[in-house]
Amino acid sequence: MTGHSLDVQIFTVAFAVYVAALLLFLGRSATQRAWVGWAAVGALGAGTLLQTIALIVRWRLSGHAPLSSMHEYASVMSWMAAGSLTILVARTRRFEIGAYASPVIIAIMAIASLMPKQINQQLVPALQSYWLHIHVSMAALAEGAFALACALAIVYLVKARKADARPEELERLDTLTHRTISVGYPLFTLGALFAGAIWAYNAWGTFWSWDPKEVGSWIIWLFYTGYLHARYQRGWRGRKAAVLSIIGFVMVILSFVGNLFLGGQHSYG
Amino acid sequence: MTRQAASSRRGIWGQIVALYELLSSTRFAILVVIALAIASILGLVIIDQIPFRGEMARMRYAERLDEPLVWFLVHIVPASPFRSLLFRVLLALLSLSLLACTIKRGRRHWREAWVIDPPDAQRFRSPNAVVWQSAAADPEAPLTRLLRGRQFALRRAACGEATCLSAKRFGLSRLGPVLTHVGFLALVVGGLWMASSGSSRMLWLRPGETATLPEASLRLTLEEFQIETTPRGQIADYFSHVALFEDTSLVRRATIEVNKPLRHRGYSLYQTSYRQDPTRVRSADLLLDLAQLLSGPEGDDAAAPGDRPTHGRVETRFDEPLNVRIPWGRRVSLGPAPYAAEIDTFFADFRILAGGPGLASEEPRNPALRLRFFAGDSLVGANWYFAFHPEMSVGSGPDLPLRFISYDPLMTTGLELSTHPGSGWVWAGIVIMTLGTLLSFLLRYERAWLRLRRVRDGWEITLLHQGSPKQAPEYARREWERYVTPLAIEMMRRVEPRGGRPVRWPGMAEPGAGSGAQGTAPRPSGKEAERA
Repeated sequence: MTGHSLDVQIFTVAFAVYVAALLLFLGRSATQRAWVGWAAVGALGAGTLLQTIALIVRWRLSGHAPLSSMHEYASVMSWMAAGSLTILVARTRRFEIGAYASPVIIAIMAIASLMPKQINQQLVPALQSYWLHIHVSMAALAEGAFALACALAIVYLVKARKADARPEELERLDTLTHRTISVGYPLFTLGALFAGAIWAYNAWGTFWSWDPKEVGSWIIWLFYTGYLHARYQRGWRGRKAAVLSIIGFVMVILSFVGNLFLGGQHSYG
Repeated sequence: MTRQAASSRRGIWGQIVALYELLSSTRFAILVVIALAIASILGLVIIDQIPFRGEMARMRYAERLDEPLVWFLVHIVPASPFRSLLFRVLLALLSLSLLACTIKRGRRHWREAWVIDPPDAQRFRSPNAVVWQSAAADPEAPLTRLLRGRQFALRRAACGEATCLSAKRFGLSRLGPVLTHVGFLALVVGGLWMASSGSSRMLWLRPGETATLPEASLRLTLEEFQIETTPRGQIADYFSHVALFEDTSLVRRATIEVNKPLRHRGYSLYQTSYRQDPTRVRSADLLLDLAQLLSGPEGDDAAAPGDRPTHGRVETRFDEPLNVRIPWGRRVSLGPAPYAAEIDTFFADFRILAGGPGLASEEPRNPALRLRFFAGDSLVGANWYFAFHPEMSVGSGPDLPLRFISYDPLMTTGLELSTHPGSGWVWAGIVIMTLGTLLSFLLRYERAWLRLRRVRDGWEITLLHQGSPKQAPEYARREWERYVTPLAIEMMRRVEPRGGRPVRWPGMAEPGAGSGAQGTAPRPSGKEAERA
């Protein structure tokens, strides 16, 4: 870890703690001991706390909110997902959700750790706006919620394959997935799309320029809009809704890494 | 009217109704959304990555137009995928679908808002109803107070011999989806209007330069352009201080920077960029090799400074070459050389073109300077000097040991002048959609019916809470536990049931149905009642 700034070192420790939480969740699944499950929740909470500290330290070191690079964006996304998962598992006491959802968080952390992590003390002029906080934080939080919904959908599909799956448990998972998307969708609509459009109008002179990131967000929004309509109007739930939720998050990841290949005005490192 | 005409009219009307039903159906909306998503992916990932397509391909492959691939790129692949006819047709279809859906929803909500249509007696006997009997003399008053206290809007309606109360809470949330649809329509209208009628052009201005904006009947003068850098040399910010004139009178003076555009009478000026002026410099720095100059063309360049001969008054300067700075537009004496020089031409990217020396690009790839030399007031010639090839000089001027080493670039500001004719629609769309989204997701609409029916020695009270029939059973159960149970328990606390128990409670077996009861009717006391 030599050579990395303090925040990156704490981030790496948080990453390790998340991995430990996953192992504990798996241990809980194998042993069915409640205290192992609670230890896993504790580790997940500790990881979230460490990541919170890492983000605060990065904020202090850079002098601006940690929302200006792909590493920072992915870190906030995983932080949102980890925090929500901690609360969810602690409240519902469904430790198996943690076993399936933690790998999604670890995957986002892995993506974040692969991105350039150096601190940009000087923001480019286009990013020097309060809209950075509104637009990027809401988009990252929304995508964190979509990540959690994807994890819950995976849990649903795994459980639905078992012959002894209890219908009420499946329905509960389905409802949780839908509720998580219901948190992410308005955040995404208002933060990623509207706040972004208003900022673009002030900075670039146009609300919408079909930039690769904008098109990615538009597709994600269309997709989740379709999901909600299919659910409310056509009664899609269960397996179909779970598959849609997973596809939605795959689109989120594609849109995120698409910056590396397609470039555009949202490429800030 | 003839029978045929009436039939024809019915036929046309029938087709319109069928079209309306198709457009307002969820299946159609989802299909259009999927088509739009696929078109967007195609546009971004495939079409946008092809360098030459549409008319660009025609220009690029003029000599190969017969080839099938070229024909395909010219005629089928749109030059700008998101402005193509196909994409606009899909957006129009989505808009029509939203419009039809909004009308359908709006009509339904309007009807439900004004028409009180109590459920029939059968629904009041459904398993989801809570029924209890009470000996209270007037149960309506306390129940009404309770519901009003919980923000339910109440309306009375007659249902047979009984009295029915319609109770609604957060009915505004039903407007959410309607507003979201209307807002999206406004966004599409504004976006298409802006894309078809909006304008945008770049203005590159040097400090002190004035640009005429005929479309706005204005003149814009750049008073100063400023670039702020960090101690490490990173660009921190850049500003243009401008003055706007109408005829000759000053209208306003403003500073334009990134994120802070200047808006004036429907026109917006954005600070989008800056660059080096490719044909101007503030000043150029040249090196005059005094050793070579004073020792003549055959002088020994490689000689050590101490070995060089001394020549009168410039003796002390032999240790270092002479640095000459020539500002743009000024003639500067070259010290010991019997000439003065001034900058005649600068090209950031010098290239020999068909008509002679010229500018190959606006990037500083090969900066070159043409100096004119004067002896007294007479022009003696001119030479080209090259920053990247300092030992080279070409021209008719004197053969001086002069090297072009650097220059202070003249920075020009890049301002974008734009008009946004549909921006009002876009703003309205954003506001309406935001309101619709918040109403949809933050408020939870509740609808309940209360029936008060007089029975032999008191009242029979029925609470029918209408959750969404499409909810999953688990969700409906949790919704019931969360919202209806506390309400029903509180109601029974205010109007006590005879015998302390309701007659019917969801999940509770019908009276006389044997011992297979699954649910238990709660008593309106104890922990749950306290919680409620």
